[in-house]
Amino acid sequence: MRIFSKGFNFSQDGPGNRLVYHLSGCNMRCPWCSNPEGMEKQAGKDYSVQQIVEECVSAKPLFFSGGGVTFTGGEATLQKTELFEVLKELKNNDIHVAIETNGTAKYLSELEEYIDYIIMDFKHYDDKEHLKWTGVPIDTVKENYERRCNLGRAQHIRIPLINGVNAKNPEKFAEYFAKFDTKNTVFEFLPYHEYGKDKWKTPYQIKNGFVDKKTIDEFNKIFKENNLVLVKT
Amino acid sequence: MEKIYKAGKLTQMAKELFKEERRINRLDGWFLAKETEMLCEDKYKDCSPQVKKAYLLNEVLKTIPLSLSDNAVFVGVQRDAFAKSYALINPSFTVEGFSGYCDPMAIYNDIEPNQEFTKERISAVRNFTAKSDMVNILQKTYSSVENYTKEVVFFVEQVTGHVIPDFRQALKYGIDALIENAKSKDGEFYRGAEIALNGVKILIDRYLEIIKAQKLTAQTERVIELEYLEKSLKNIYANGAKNLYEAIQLYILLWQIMCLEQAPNPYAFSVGNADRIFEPFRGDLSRQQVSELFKHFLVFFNIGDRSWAISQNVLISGRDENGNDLTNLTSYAILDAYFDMNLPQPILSVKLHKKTPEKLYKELGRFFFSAGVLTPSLFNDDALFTVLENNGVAIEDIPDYSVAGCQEPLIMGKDNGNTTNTWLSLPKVLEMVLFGGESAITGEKLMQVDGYDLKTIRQDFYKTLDKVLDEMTKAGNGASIALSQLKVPFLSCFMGGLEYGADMRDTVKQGTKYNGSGCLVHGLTVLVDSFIAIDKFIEKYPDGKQMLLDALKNNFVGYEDLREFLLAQPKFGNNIKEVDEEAREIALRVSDMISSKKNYLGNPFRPDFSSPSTHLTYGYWVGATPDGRKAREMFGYGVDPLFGEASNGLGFRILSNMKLPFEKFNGGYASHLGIDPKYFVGDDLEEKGVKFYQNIVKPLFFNPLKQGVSPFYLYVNVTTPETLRKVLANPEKYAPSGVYIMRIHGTFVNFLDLSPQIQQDIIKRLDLRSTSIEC
Repeated sequence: MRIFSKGFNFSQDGPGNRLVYHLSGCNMRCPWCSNPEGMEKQAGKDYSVQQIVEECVSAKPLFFSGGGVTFTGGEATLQKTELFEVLKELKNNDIHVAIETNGTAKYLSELEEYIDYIIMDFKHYDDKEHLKWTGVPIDTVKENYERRCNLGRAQHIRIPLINGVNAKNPEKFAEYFAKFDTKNTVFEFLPYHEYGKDKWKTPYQIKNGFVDKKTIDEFNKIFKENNLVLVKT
Repeated sequence: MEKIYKAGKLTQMAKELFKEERRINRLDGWFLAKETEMLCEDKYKDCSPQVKKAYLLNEVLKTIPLSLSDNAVFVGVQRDAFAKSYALINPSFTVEGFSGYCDPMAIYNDIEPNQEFTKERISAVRNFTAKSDMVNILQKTYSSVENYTKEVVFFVEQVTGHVIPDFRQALKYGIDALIENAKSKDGEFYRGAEIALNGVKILIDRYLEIIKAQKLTAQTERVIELEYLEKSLKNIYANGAKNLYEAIQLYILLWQIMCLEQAPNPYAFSVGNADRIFEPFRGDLSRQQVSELFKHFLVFFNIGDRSWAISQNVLISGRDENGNDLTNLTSYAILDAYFDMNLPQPILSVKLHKKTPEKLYKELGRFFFSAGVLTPSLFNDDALFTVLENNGVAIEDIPDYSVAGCQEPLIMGKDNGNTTNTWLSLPKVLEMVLFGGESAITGEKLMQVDGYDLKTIRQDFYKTLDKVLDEMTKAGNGASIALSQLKVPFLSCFMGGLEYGADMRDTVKQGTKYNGSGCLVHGLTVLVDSFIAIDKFIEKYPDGKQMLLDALKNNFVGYEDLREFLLAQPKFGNNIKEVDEEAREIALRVSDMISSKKNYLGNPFRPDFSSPSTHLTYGYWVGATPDGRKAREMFGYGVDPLFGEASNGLGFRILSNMKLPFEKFNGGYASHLGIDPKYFVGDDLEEKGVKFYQNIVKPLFFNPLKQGVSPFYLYVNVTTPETLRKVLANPEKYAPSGVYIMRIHGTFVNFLDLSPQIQQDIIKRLDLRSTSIEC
């Protein structure tokens, strides 16, 4: 498994205190990405499945407040084979596992048996815009969202809010989401920040991406009106 | 009392009193004390040493100049016992300045001659001191191990202070009762005790005279205050304290005499569990009233313009032997006093355990998350109870453990731990092995070491270490024997002397229930990382011994690639099994080796993995090491990873740390976390305090999955390097009071008072990458 960053955080990538692995390689090319150093699959360092599992088991004392392990990226699902192996072993060791994904893996449903918590990004409701900004079509993201809604499975949908990209028409987002059964779905807005800006080796493309409080309030309001549950981590 | 001092008045006076103290830039009292001893020496020449010292102490108490400020609520100062010499807050301190010798004469360089204190006068006392048995024995001891100490393979010193007197009986029953006790027993120690204890009366009588004189000219309001003080002073000697005011007053006087007895070096005395000592006297006083009185108590511990008395520890909270919480109203009142005064001294330590009330964590939030405000050291009672019990402390004594100096756990009134007696540099011992006893810094031959092989480096290291420990403990005992020439009849009365009939420094008859000698172990993580790097080096270069030695000797100049290779090897602090197991093994083995050595009374030395800024000074004397560290760079602090090597954040650091054998560290250990405040979000400081408990304290101290004894000590600085640089660049803006409290090893200090090198060390050691809580 190739990993470009690892460390602990508290309740930002799943419940409780979590050991977070950033897996190398991403199929998207979002220009606001805060971990651009992990986009290429060669980034980082290789670890064997056994090394990862041993590390996770040794870290159990720190999985307090319902914590565990989170795989994110890059895009974690790109390393399908290794991820499957690790997830199975973590399940055997009774470790809570979360995955943070951009939702483009067609085989996501196969992984779900081993995952306790899913965080899925949703960058744009509009197919063309999604393709334009991320370089990837949105169909699979939507399929995964809809499938989980229909099955009543819990999921945590994160929407980055970026001025000039997607920070308008909250009703369009809400309209799409509310078409499905969201009783086990929570939503979270991630207002634009520039923590990763300095890590870009090519010129940073986003200009004036910050969103104002009014915009965030508006998104909150519209989502609430559509009975979509919001969380903040 | 509450009728005399309206709400807020005591606070106002305490703050004024502190300002007055900070304006004092000469400390000459200690010199007067030494001079008085010199002048009276002949008068008592036929007395036994114990009795002579007691009489000399009385002479000092009779003659030392006394005064009483209009802002003082209590009489008593400890200013006259200290010199302006403590290195770290001395602006002239430099890392390069280490001399390998704790010179009892150096103090005479700290007094600046003037018209009153002429060169001749200083010279006379200096010469008198130089002829003393203590100085002679100490000099002999140092000369016998000079080669070891000059570049700090090890270091030894005579330990003054560094204990916790138990004044509780005196507060409860008064001084007469103690004197009666002494009178009923035979022996020179008891005669000395009687005379020394009588010093309390001498001091009280002199203060009563001052009060009497001041009453003649004072305003009516002050006359009432003085009369209250007078009445209290007249009561406490014979009867003990009948309320909190009197208890604090008597305590201060006892402390003053105790320090004068050891002038000019009474460092690191600890108050002990202050909330438990004083709560029985509180009566009906409210939290606010208690807090106001304690503000004066706190001011008392600050000496002169830089708060020169250092490492005085006040503890609160904790548990009893059955696990019941002992936090009381006085605990919270003391916290209030600390927070409002925010003084450079005394240090605050908080004892925690599994049943510590959430309220306490809430109230601690304001300390951790207010810029420039002191932060308490944290102790894990649950773990320390086990450590102390395993090391022979009776279970009924353990709740009384307190902290002498920075973090050394000792039993109040019963334990003379000689905590800073010996200091060991593990990386320097490794250097001795690698270079056959030659210094990689100066090339000088420091000791004889036989040949070795990189493949058996551990075995060869421990063999040399054993030899070093033999020399070190012998010299440490020599320093203790030297110090035992300076009797402490007064202090001994509060350390078990009245029961055991011997001076607490006696090297033949044990005067305290518990006794040991400390060994401060430096550079654990440099040694750990070096062993691992050597293993990897041999794998790659099986015949590369000479190349490694050349690289080290040349400080990696011309060997940059090799250094990169060494730096890239696994390091402690990242939860890497083989490294953490190495750290555990070294710590276990070194601890056992130290514990097997006996002090002057045949008691074991106590391993203490702490480095009170000596990770800088000792690092300066070690050449490049196989972990890739360059020559003269500092070691990791205490048991912490080397700066920059724990790059995966706090979680990994804690996991590595938890593997260490804390059960062996009965002398204590040190660990510091520099924490970025941005990780703690909450609606208020109380909520942040609870989060600090949840994310730092609970996983570290009370982790249900931790096997064996948990970590038991931690101090933190919650700030960022940027913030501290701003404070230094613009103190008027960021520290308008002139005081910006930071922690440095176990004590806290005014960041602005520190020497520049220590300021930079604090900034560097924040090492926020190693404590990151985001990924």
